Amino acid sequence: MNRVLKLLLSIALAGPLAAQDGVTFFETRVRPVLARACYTCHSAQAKTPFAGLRADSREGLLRGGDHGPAIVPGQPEASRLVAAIRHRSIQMPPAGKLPEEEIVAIEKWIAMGAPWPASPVAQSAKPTAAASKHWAWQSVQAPTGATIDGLIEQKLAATSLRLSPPAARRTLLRRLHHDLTGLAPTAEDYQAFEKESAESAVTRLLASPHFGERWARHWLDLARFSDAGFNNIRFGYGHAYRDWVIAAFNRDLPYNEFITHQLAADKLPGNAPGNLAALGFLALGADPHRASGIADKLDDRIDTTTRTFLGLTVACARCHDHKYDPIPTRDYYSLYGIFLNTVERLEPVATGPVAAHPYYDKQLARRLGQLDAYQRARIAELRTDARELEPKYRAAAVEARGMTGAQVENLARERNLNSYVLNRWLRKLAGELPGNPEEIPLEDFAQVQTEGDYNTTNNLAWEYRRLLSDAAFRLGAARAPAVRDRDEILPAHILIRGNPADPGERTPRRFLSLLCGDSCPEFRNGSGRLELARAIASPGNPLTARVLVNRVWTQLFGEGLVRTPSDFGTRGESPTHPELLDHLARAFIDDGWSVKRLIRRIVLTRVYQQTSASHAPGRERDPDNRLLWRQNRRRMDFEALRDAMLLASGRLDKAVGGPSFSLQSQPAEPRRTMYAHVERERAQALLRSFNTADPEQHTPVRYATTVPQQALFLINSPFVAEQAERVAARSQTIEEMYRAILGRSPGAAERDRAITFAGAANLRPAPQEPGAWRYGAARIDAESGRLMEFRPFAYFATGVGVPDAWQAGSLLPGAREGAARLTASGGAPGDDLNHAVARRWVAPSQGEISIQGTLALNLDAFDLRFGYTNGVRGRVIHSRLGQLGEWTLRHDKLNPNPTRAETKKEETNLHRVAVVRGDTIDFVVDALDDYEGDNFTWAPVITGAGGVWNAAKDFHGPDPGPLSRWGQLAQVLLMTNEFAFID
Amino acid sequence: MTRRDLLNLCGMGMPALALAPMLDAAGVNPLAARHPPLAPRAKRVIHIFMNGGPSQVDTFDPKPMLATYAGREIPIHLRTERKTGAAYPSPFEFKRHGQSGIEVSEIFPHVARHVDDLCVVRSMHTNIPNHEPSLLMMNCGAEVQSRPSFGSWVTYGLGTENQNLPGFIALCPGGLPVRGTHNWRASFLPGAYQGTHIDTRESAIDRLVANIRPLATGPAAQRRQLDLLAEMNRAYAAGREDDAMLDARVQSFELAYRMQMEASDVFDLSREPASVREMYGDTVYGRQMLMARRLLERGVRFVQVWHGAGQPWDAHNDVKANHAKNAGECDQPIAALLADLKQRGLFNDTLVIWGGEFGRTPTVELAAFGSNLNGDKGRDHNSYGFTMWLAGGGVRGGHIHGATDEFGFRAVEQTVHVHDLHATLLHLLGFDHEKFTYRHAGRDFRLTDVHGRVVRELLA
Repeated sequence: MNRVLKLLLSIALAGPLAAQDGVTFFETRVRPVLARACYTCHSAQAKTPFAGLRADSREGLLRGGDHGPAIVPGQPEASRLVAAIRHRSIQMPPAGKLPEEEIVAIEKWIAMGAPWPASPVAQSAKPTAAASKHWAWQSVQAPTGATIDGLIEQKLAATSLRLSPPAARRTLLRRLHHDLTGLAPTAEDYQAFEKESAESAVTRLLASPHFGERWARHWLDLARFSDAGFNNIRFGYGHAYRDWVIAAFNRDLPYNEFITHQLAADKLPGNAPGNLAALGFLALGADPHRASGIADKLDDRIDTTTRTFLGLTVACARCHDHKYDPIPTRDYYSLYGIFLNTVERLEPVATGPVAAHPYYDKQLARRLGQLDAYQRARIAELRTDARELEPKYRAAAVEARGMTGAQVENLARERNLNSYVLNRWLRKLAGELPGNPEEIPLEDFAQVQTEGDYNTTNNLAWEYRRLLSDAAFRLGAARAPAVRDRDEILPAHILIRGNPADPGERTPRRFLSLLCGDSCPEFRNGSGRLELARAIASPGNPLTARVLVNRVWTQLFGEGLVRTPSDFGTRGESPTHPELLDHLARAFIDDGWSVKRLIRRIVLTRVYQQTSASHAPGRERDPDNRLLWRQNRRRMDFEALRDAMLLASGRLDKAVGGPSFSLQSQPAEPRRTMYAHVERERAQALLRSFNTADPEQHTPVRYATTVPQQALFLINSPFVAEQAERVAARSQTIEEMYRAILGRSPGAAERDRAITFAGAANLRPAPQEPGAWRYGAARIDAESGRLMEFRPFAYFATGVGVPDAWQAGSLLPGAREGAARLTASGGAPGDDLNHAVARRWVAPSQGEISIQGTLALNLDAFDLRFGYTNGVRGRVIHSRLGQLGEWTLRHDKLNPNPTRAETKKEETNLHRVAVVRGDTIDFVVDALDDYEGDNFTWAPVITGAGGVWNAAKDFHGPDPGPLSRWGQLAQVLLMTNEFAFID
Repeated sequence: MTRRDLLNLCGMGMPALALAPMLDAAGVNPLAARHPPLAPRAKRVIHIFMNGGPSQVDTFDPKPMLATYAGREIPIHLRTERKTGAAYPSPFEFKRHGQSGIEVSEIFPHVARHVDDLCVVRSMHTNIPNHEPSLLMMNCGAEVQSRPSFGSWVTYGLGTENQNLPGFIALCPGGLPVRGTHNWRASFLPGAYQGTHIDTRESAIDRLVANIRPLATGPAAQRRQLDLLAEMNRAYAAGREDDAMLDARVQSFELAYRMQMEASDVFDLSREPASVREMYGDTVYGRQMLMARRLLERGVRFVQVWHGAGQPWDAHNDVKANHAKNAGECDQPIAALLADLKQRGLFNDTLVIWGGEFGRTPTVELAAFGSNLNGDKGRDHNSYGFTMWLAGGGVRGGHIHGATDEFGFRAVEQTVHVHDLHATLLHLLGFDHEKFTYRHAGRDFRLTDVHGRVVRELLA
């Protein structure tokens, strides 16, 4: 740099403003580069700073390292740092030269005199005095003699407002039904309420099995519940957790125990096996498929646990101390240590003996055996690979001595070595590894595997999980995804900047210092989950009860007393009514943590029962209704809206619990919407457009956006049309239709208008003619090959990236027909000869037909090597003439080293087959001995009898035809605001 | 104060958790078009995603050294996911094109004609050479954890110009790419900002967009229904006048009614002159690219065009066959899009992004069960260096940025991380990536997390 410029710079830097600019320049352009490129070796993070140099303070750089000062302020050319990053002396950073603009920035900064901020902002921020006085960490202070209404009225009076008058009786009943059970009242409920007190209605609703369903759904939003994890593979028996939550709300399990079960049911002595299902809270979380995702998985557990139970955003402290709340990084890693020592496993939860299922036992054992055999064969080869590279590993290990974990990883990458093996070499050289570095233990296979191994082992593991979830669907919730402690408890370390390759100081497993002070006891009972659960569920914990009562309040009023229900930290909102929050929390604890009694206390108040009607003074003085001068009008969420439609159409299946169903079928499965199958990887556009919870993460409140996709669903979806036509079908009069949908009679004008729209009588359109093809499951007689029974499929399932299919339920596998389904081009059979799959053609007239088709089975490399399918058998069966042909595609010779995918196929052509009108030709496929992987293709074409029928081209879903006028009217009522809002 | 004022005032930093629903409760459409805080260079985005990872040394980054070393070990020994062997020269020829003389592989003859409009970034790099994390890094700026996609951020920041169509659309023929809807998720942003997937292998409108046709009623009957509905809703509103939520829902039906027309129109390619359809080509890819242009033209903010379900560019087995086929499918449509945007005056404020989630190794992948059965004709994943190109609004055309080493393995000059790319793209759209945040779970989240810098050299 020329001398004049330097002079100018030093003059320019004289003023305080300029100094500030220098610091800004440093913070934005220089510190991030130093942090990224240098800190791993040259900072407090490194156990021993490399070459004695620390780049994380100005002093460190001025003092320099083993070779002298790293910078000379004002003189970039004389600075060793510049020589190193310009590769003039040594070459730094070792991972590769910095981008030119970063080098220039560092030079410029040194030329500026190396300004550095006075207070080291990058260091751990100590919580300020204000932060430690934050209201939420103070113990619960219940005002004596207070009531809910009294505390609300007190605040209202200060603004010259009053509670509004009580809501109309019908309005109140609908509100109670919605809030307590998520189901609208029926006409009978309204009638009964005329003679019933609110107290008794509340008692009745709290005792309803649907109470648990409604409140479990709210809880599942917090627990980021999903039926499937990575790659859409289902969590086998995932619904066991969902059903446990429903049952827990229904039996009013005290909330402190509710917490303990979900975090540590396995560690409670004498606990009923059924309660192990509660551990799904932890087990059904993030589902990483690679070892490198472990830290993120544990982060998901920390985040979900702390936000759900404590309203604390502890995950903010993963890479640095929490910026706003007194949560240091070491506390994050204290919890990390707890979950690090918590591993998932499937536990039997049935009260009786678990039904034996020899097929699954055999197949599961077979897949595990294949996985084991594969890994054993490959580990030998991987050990040989490591042995062959011994000189390279040895040389790298010598070089790597004293490096941080991150540096070792980087070195391995640069040398095309495996970092795990290199670490073994390092330990060997340090005398810490007794054995030979190449003798990689089998259990560490995942650390050394190649991508081909990863694909193969994953493929087998997925097949295993697929089998397990199949078993779950057929055998019911006999097991549950749960967790237990690791056999050997591992120590946890702070991970510097959250980098798993960069462990820092060891952290004890213990609770958050914010809540237990500086001398938190270390947890010693295994992973420490039970101690954690007890610390959370302690009556002395200032957050747990407050957070829960606020969540309940949020559901009953549409807004919480704290409007950030999962962030009670300093950046969250303050409570509108702090005394009320504490009053509720205190009473909740004193009342044995009973959620039902808490809800009862709230819904019997005047503030809950007041009208939602608005008035001018209220709007002027408190437009957001923060003081609750009226109840809030609320729009039904997607679950409540869909359930209400099914209830109106008379189709709602009120069964509680059980396997999930799919929303994507025609007709709709009439189960309550909370049982809809949710996948993290295939978010359904419909659910997202209605703002249901994102199953990937804790959702504290649902958004309430209104987008046209919601309206499109209402005006055009087959679901709404189907419900509308069904209401119309069971309504003899306009009066009945109004009662079924809106729970009231129409006014005279409304009745006239409805008649003008729809006509006085319900005229139904003629039913649609079915086509020539039918789809169903079949029973085949093994001896004669005759078709003994044809059971038509009731559901047409659709979905993104999967072919449309006719099947026995909306979601497969199902208890009745297993995985049996038929698509345009093929399908899959059910389990055995009693559950074969049959595509049926019905002859429309007499004649002679010929049939052309090819039965085929595609086998990829994994199929060929591991035998996921053993083949299928196809038959053509004539209703009068019996079996016309039989073809078997068998795959029982496994190929240990396939070099390409293969297709097995047979032509299934038949000629001169005589039919008369009404004869059936069934194209039947069965599974041979095992049904896995039996995805065949077979789309025959029939020519003759007056036409050509192409199975693939003719394939379509049900066509319910146009809506009748009455159906159209019913649809309008189902779409009204009156139907969708809760006053 | 309008929502726009509020957002501008806050520099987009403040619209925290409570704000979006609050504004919605006030009846304001979350997708209403908004101005960014800084002067934008581009108003809309099309991201042409070559999922699976195209090879840089076979497309836009020629490396003659690979021929010199053909069949021999190269002196760079970076760790790869599968075992790779000797240098593997490109089976394709490169030629210089245009005034800029930028070299393009023979598999992109049509795109090559537009090379003077492209800013070819040869020094891209990312962190992990696996599809799943790298797809999410490219789309969401984070590899594992749930973060909103780039398209969701843009739609959140800018809303969209056409209220009758979704603001963010992902076109992908034949199903979903790897990681499915994660690639266009809204994550913790409101669901309104989630990308809408359209399977462009379909052609019938009701198969393209869910619930877009009144199949059970028909337009006339539906109009009667909506008129009656409006009447009933008016009656219900009496005594509930002050409730914007009621009003918003009433309006949403009319919006949906109009959306049916607009969507039917936008996806009906028969309305294009034959010459235009020919220019794009009557193929799945050609049709989807033409759809993309029709969407952009009608004010859709962000269109992502995927090559196909799964990972079509993942050339482990046979890079020649794979890349020739894939490029053969998309070359003409991409060139047609560039020409068409120009012709319609849309090029200068449309940001065009081309690339995959990473690149491929210059060395040959060795056959192994579980990855590649075919043997010694393909390339493995490469996160150390790869090529992307940008074009359109605010982009420096006819420019090559950065370089990989002499074998094309690692980005070594003027390297651009995916975070840097995101920062640059946001800059072009009028956002400071460090200030464009959303409050969630106690933190102000950014697309670029704590990383990223604007690469000024890419800007016109």
